[in-house]
Amino acid sequence: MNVKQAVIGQHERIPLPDLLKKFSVVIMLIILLLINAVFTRNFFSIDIVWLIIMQCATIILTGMGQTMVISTGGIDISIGSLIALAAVVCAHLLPYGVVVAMTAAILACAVMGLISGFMVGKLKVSPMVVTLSMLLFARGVAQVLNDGRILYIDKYTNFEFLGQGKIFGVLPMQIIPIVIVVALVYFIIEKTAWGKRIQAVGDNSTAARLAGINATGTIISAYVFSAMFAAVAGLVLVSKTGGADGSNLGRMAELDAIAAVAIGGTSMAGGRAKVIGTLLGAIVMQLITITVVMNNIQYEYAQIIKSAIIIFAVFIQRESRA
Amino acid sequence: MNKTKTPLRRVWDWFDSRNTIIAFLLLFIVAAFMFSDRKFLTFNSIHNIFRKVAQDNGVAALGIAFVILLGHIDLSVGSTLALSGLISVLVANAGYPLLGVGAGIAVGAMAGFITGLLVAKLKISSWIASLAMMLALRSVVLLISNQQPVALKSAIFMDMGQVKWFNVSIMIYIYFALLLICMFIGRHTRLGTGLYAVGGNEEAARMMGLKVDKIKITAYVLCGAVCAVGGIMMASRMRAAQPLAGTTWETYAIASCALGGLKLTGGEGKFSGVVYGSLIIALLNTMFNYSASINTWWQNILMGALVLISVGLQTDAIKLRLPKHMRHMRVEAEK
Repeated sequence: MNVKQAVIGQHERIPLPDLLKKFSVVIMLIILLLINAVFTRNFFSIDIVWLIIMQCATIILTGMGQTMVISTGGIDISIGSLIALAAVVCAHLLPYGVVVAMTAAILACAVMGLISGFMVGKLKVSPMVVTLSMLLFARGVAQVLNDGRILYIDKYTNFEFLGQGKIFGVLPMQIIPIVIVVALVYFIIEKTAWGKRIQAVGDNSTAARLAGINATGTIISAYVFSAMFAAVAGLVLVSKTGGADGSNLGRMAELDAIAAVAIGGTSMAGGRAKVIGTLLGAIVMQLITITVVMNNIQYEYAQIIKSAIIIFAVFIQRESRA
Repeated sequence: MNKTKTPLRRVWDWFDSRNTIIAFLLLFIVAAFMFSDRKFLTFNSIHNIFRKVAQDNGVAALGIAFVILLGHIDLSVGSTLALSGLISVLVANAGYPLLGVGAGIAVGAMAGFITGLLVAKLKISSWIASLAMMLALRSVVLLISNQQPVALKSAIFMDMGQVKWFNVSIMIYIYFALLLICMFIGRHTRLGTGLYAVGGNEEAARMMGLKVDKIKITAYVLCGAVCAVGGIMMASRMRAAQPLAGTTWETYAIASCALGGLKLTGGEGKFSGVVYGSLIIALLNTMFNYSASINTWWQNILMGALVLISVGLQTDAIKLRLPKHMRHMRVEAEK
């Protein structure tokens, strides 16, 4: 449709169902906010905004990487384990300085992403299997490094500032990595040729290859970025909770990320990346949980509602193929 | 097929098609040597390995294999297992143990049916559909059980952890019975060939007149039903339905299938391969349990590396790196 619009010009009117489809995440967000305005007491306060941002941090950060990977037609289910790996590496290296620890954690995950990307892009192994084994592998490394225990980092207050501190006393620190990562991914996907290449490879990798696109490099870059963003999420999480738990940190985080991407309108088959959609999808997911919790409904109902909304969102956005 | 196979090609084919069996045998030999002092090659320890397959994720792996043959994925196996175990315990506690088994399997099949409908009719990606089912079913389990284990009170509902026929745990018989049924479905029924056809090329299967939607839904129903059997076995063994039963089992079930040579893009692989995959995982587990010197946390690393290697060996990219004089064989085989 984008091509058609570009050819005809901006005068073409988009029919209503397509418009609804295009803005379905926004509509869902508005509906959720309206429901909250009516039913939830004390909802519209600035604290709630910060709360949502703080709780969304992991889903947004990992969702950005997942958007890139899913746009190449792949999937990355190793995110949760990479979060744990980054947390453990960082916690171990904190005595050598915060910057060293953070760089090492991100680099360690980038190497893992490089391996996944190489297997998928070069050796053409199915992304599912590669990232599944990476899930087991990275989790195992995190557990071995930690010997199954939880490593506490409460000594390092300057590091904990990343997860718990506030700028000017109000803005939570997590907003900085979120803004940087979202802006970066948005810029890559929307403004650079590289972003177009990612979507081209996801749409039809053979055609992209024939058109002279370096598909292997493009795929590898997506996995490396996904792993690095997972590392950032891991750093934020470990500084927020104050302990690096190699066995449990980030478990199932990949599923939240996939759900946020799907709600946001990125096609699971690849070739269509919606960065802002993922951002809104992550917020919608978190908002459902907050709505349910603030209204004293059991958490299990939140999960059921969440799954129904995921199905509904993906259903109305699916591409109707003739 | 080319009748004049060179001996070299025969050897290569044998290695190529049975790499999973070979991997298993190698591991077995290594283990036998490592633990020869502990009487590893005794009936008991081998029985234990098979029992581990039957009671851990072997059954779930058989179930998920139906869906993987389609090229899909089912993340909800763990939740399905917990739900059907819970339902069967509740019905059995009410005084109808046999009905409990039936109800458990029916619930599992029903869950599979819903996932299948979402995937086949609403055209939602199997990732998303089964992810949503996983969350929803787990929540239903937690709501019904009130987050507490539900004890099994019926005495007739037998304790599968204890009952043995001819010195072999009844769970192993059930596992192999399920395996035979699955293998029969995969090889000798229309549904089985349909699974491979849809997994290989859905569009082609549709054009040949196969009822693709029906095949997909049936695969999910079978997956749910098989997982339900696993759930009932687990509830019977533990004498209770655990609300968190089967969490993260989907990972190991998928890993068993990948190790067993099932192609995760669909259309290739055998149910017998899944057994080898499950056996490898159970054997690794046993090795780590037996040896005091190795840190247990290495288990995940080893498993991840093993999946990666075994699947990496099956890729086209590596097959193309055959020695020059053998390269034409691959091309012939693909034709």
